[in-house]
Amino acid sequence: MQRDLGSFPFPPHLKRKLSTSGFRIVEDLSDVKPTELSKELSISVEEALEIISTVKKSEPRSTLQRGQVRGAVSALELLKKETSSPGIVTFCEEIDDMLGGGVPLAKITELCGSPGVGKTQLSIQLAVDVQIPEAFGGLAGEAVFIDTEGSFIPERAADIASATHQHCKHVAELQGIEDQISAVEDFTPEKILSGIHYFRCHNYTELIALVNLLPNFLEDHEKVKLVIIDSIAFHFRHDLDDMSLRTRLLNGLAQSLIKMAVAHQLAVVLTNQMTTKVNVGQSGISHLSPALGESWGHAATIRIILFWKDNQRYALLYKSPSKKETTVSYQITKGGIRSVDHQQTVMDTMKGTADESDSMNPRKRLKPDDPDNG
Amino acid sequence: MNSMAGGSETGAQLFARLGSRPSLKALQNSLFGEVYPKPGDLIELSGESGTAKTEILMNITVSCILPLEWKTYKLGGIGTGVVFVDTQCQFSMLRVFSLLEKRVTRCIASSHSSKVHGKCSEQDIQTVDKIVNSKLEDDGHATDKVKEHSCPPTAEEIENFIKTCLEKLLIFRCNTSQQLLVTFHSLETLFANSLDISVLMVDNWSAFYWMDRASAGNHLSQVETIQQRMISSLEKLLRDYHITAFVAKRPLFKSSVKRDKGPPTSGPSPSLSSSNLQPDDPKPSNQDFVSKDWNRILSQKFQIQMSEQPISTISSEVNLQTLFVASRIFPKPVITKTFFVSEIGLNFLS
Amino acid sequence: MMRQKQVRLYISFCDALTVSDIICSDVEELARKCGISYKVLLSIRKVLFAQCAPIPISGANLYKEVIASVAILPTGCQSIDKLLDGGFYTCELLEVAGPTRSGKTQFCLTAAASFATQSSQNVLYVDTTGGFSPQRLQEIMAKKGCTLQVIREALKKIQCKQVFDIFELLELLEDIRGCLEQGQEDDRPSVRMVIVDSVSALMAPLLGGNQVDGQALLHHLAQALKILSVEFYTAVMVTNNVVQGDSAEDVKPALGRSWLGVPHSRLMLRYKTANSLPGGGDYCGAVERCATLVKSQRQPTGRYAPFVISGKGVTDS
Repeated sequence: MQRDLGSFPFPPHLKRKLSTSGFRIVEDLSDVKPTELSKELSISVEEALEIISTVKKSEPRSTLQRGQVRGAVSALELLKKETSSPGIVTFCEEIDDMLGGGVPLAKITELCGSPGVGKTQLSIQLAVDVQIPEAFGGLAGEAVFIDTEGSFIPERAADIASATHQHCKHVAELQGIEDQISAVEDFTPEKILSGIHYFRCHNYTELIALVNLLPNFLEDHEKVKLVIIDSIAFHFRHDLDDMSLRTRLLNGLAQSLIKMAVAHQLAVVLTNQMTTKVNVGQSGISHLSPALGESWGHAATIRIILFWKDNQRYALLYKSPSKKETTVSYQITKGGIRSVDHQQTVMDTMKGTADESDSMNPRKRLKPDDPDNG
Repeated sequence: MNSMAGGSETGAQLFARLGSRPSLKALQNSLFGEVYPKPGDLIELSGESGTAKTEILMNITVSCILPLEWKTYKLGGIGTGVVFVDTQCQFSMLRVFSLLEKRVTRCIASSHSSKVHGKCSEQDIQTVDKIVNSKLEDDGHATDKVKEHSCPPTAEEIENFIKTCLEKLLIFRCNTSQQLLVTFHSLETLFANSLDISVLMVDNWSAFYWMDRASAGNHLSQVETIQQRMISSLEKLLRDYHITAFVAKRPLFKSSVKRDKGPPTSGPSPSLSSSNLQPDDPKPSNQDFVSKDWNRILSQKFQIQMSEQPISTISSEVNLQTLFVASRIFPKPVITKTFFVSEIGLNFLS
Repeated sequence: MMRQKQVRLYISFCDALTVSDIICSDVEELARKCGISYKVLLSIRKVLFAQCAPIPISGANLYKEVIASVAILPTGCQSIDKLLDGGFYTCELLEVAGPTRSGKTQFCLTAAASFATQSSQNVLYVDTTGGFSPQRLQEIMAKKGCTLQVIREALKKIQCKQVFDIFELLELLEDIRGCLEQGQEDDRPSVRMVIVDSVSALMAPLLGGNQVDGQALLHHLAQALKILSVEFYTAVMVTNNVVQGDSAEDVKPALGRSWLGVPHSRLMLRYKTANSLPGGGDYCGAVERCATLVKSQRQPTGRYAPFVISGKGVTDS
């Protein structure tokens, strides 16, 4: 192999020793024993072993299938996987539809909005909904809630949890399905609250450290299907003046998060503030845009902007690779996030059970033109 | 092969040294003005990426490999061989071919139109016909000549001709500085044996700097060694084989000091592009890493920049074109030329 | 034939350690210093030249190769095809740069969909941000009027690999190269289009700090991408972010100055903001988008093409 040894993740001092000793490409290291290498570079055998195994690992295996790049998966398989794994519902049908069946797994979704518009409420709603039992088409998962602003209110979580419990119970009783009735017994508000793993971060260093340690936590808690950071912007906006360092740290954070999302097939939800941006070009008109700047804009796969207009809350799908830009309205009730159409009380919302259970189970909602079915 | 010292010169080398390679006098116009590149010259083209350096090199390549004339058409080329060392996969065959094609077809078209212009009277055409008819049997050679003039070569003929021109071009692709160094050394044999090659192009010299520096563990002395070896092997080619070298270079650091006509350095921006000079870098005054050795063998240095001149004032034709300014900053006096790139190549504005 | 490594070991006991050392030093002197005979050293040098020097190709042969191998693949959007003189050239590295939601991922998905429905060869989509959406691919193909069978086959031909760090990407590119080498042997490249969406997501955390290592990795990446395009005649497309330039309206591609010259062609995407919400932001009705060719080896730069994003993906407005 002709690959340059400089393109491997070796520490600089080893790179230097390799190059000054004439090892430039992978081929130069083939058949070299760790002991020989350690002697020649005057490094420890462990280091030499490390170098050789890193290089060996990257060599294409002989069993390489023709025309198949290692680890690549066809879009068809991914499509099957995507359509068979439900997203996390919000209990606002319009938002779920806008996203194509709730907040998707294996992606980063960012909620942006001014204070009080419902970012934390929506986050708590998701942390509860991710736990809906499989019998109801849910994920039966758990959630990690990382709070940077101290805005998590346990009472609200309890409200939403018990409303969700009530709702599921109602559905189960109405439909009389055995599985659901037995599932709802176990789906108590206490159980729901204990399924939310809460972390509090006081500065950006803590946040970065936590995100780096999270993979270990996830190994032990396999049921976690949702990681929420509320909010991502807070510490970075206030504690960091060095813009280039901030950009670098944030980009690294985004990379760790998407890596985690894919490795553990979980949804990452971030909340972000809005900032006033003065556009010099447009005769000084200022407008609101998500905080953390342009380079952060690429971090989230899906970006939703929550805003107020005429005393009504709206959610705008600002950026999504798969769905088109849409604006929908929603409201916040005692029981959590709800559609505006089913206004009034929680009880009323439950009358639309047929609709609701349908929206909770995207598996049933495969489009007729799906190649899977065709 | 290596040692030129003492009496170990081979016959081929001696011949190469004494024999003359094609002159580059035809490059006189365009970029170089009166001071055309001579054997043994090193010409540096320096500029940020996107300042048409590769385009200039490809244009010079085209002028070099085209012959002075083809059939009866004056192409104005030099007809010499060119070695093009491509370090960043920037060489575009499609572009070179299209430049050659445009150059040839334009020459043909202009020679025909001038003919029509000059002798458009019927009489003349009749005379030509007469000559064609009368000489058809007895003088084949002359007839051919006239025929050539009267009907332009077919597209296929042109393509075949261009292919023969392209035989004069040799492309080396290098992926590491070691490969570049080995290439320079192996070129000695090539230049010794082929007297019809007189030009070496390197695009571009700075390509491996960061890789070298990283693999040297950021020890600058080691990077300097690599540079010096490359410079001395290049010098050898110039001195011993009378090659003319055109080398494109990119400044590696953002200019910290504003030059008289330099582009404005951008203010502090929250950008990812932090190619700023490190504060502890030992050579802050120079944008280049290159040592005095380079300046010792340098014959001409051009600095190419994008023009800040508002484009619309030039002419409507070059409306959308980016204008470039090439300044010869060494040797003095400074000569400045403005040009833009179109499908036919470089267009210099007077 | 002696292998480079053996040569290296053979001479490692003397001062000259590397290939460059042998090639640059005086043979006679080296022979004296190492106690190796002049003749042996000369033949070592010869071997080194044979192994390390790139094999030159004449312009005429390269032309033949280019004519036989370069294909022009459609982007799926006619006005952008026109801008690029037909579409993607399978010997070039194209960069698509633009701010958030200017349509970069949509452009990539449209290109992948349109290539996969029209060709028998594979597309490799390297996803570094989680933006790859098979559902969207399916929608684009369906809206363009493909039959279910065609869509099914096309989706099989689009291979996706998610990569979240630069070393993984470098390894993947080496793998692709291996695949293409294999394909070259039986005269049928398996992958004809490689899309990396986006390079800046991987590189951004590395640049700006220890800049030597970051810069070097950026160059390794550039080289690996260009080798795929230039030596294996594959269309390679990458997406890049933008950063604020010198003035407020001036944006430039991210990744710094040394990356600027890397792609053979560059398209800048942007969107025109229409009306803004009362008390809201600029997030209402950004419909019309625009692609500008800012770098090209074959086409005049500065021209632009308007486009929109619809159910069919990136299309003419």
